[in-house]
Amino acid sequence: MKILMQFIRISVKRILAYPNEIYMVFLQAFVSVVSTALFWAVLFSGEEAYGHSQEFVYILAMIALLSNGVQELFFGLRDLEYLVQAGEFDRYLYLPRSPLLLRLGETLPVVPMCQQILIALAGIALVTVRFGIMLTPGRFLKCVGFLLLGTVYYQMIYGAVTFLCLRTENISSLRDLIFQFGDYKQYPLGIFPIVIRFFLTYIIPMGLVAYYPTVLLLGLDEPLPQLYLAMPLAAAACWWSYRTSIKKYASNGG
Amino acid sequence: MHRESLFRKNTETVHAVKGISFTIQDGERVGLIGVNGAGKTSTIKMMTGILTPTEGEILINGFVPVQRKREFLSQIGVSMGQRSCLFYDIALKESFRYYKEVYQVSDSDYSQRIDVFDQMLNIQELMDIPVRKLSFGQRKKAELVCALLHLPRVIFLDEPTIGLDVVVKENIFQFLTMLNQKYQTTILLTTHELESIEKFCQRIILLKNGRVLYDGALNRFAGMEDYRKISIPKRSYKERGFTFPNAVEVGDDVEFTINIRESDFSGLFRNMIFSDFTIRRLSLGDLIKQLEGEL
Repeated sequence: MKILMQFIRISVKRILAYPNEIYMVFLQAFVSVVSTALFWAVLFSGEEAYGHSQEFVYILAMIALLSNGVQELFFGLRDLEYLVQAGEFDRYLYLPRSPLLLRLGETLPVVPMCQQILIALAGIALVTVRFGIMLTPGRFLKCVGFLLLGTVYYQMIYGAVTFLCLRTENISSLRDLIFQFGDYKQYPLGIFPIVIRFFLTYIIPMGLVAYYPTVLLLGLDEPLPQLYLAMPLAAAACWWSYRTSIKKYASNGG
Repeated sequence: MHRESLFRKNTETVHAVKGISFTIQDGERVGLIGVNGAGKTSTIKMMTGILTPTEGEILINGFVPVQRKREFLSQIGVSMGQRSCLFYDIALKESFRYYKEVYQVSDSDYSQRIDVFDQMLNIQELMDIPVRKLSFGQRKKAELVCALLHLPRVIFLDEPTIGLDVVVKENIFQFLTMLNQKYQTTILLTTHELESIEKFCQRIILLKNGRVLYDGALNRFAGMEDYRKISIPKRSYKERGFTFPNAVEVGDDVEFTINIRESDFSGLFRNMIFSDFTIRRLSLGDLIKQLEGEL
């Protein structure tokens, strides 16, 4: 617990060292969500598009931003490869805590994370009022729960790929391939053919972090993906990738 | 013609270290030395659990380093001279507090240790300064504090004083000596600054191409006590008709090495005045150069 508080403290101190960064991060998150909303507003000629209502896609945009905020918890995985290449990963290996926990904690971007989450929540509230949507606490909790589950699942798949850099030292092409699908979370999954839907649910699970939480929040009647098998498989892949790769970790010269 | 396959990588296994074996007792100060690429850093990285050895066994305080058990990692302190463990943008005290939590040091121990460390390294005055504003020497001292806040039983130092001026260097070695004497801390040090090894280590392990060339007391290394380096002006050297095979010209002087057990040391400089020549012990650097030439 104490170390968690220290992670947060360091993250806040870091952002306070460059106060302008606070406004920049806020602006970036705000512009991002407004541009997505604008995109959909322009695309809609009537009440519906591709079988989805306006309120659905606006809520989807907010949930996508909410998931971006939550995913900031795993920010430290993004540059793991460069850390390995520079030999900087060494120091996590001789500290008496989990190397991954320390890495994620040291790079925890608390302020950007909070900003994105707050903008997303404000956006959800705004859309709810504007379109007269009835939200219940139960649906909200289900939505957040599924979003967290989806985020963990996504990060386990991302982690399984990323940890390979401990042995191969270069994994950026594969990693960028996953990032390329990042924008797909802005779109309703229903507009894609079934194969793509499966791909975006179980392989690069963008649907899990935005689309299905939106479905749950709005209480829509749509079957949810079954993660009973996928979740342990992703966890096993992630664990195997880390355990086997760390044994091959070669660091770099003196 | 040399053809290289685009798709098949020709690999060659290079052993960073091979067949090395040594035991270090509690409270020893050991210098791990050798030229670049000798295997010093790889040895330290295996001893600290960073690298997994392909063969052999390492035990530190009864632990296998690569298993990275928390009890083991809490007993070692590591400082890699060319790597930083500090948070660059924020006040130094935040880095200290962070490592305090990482090593689970209690509040009272932390304050007490910071006070003790401050007496040697003057770190209190740096506490509120962002790391990026510290001088190189101040940062190095701070890195050392982070690595030693938990008072480890064994300290691994890889080039801890690289690039530092003599004053800071002296300061750091005094601090390490205090830790060694007060807490019986075992210290394994690698550095290219051999004068530091001479002053600080009682024992050296010399590596070459990943193998141990010498492991023992510093003063017995390559007959260190048997040799003296003589430096006399070129003019005197010629006038006296000296023809030492290992003589080299250094500026206006000629330097050569004699074995004091074999040479007629007293007769050598008869009728010479003291200002004409200098005699000194061979440094570790001289001996290593000599060995490198012979091997």
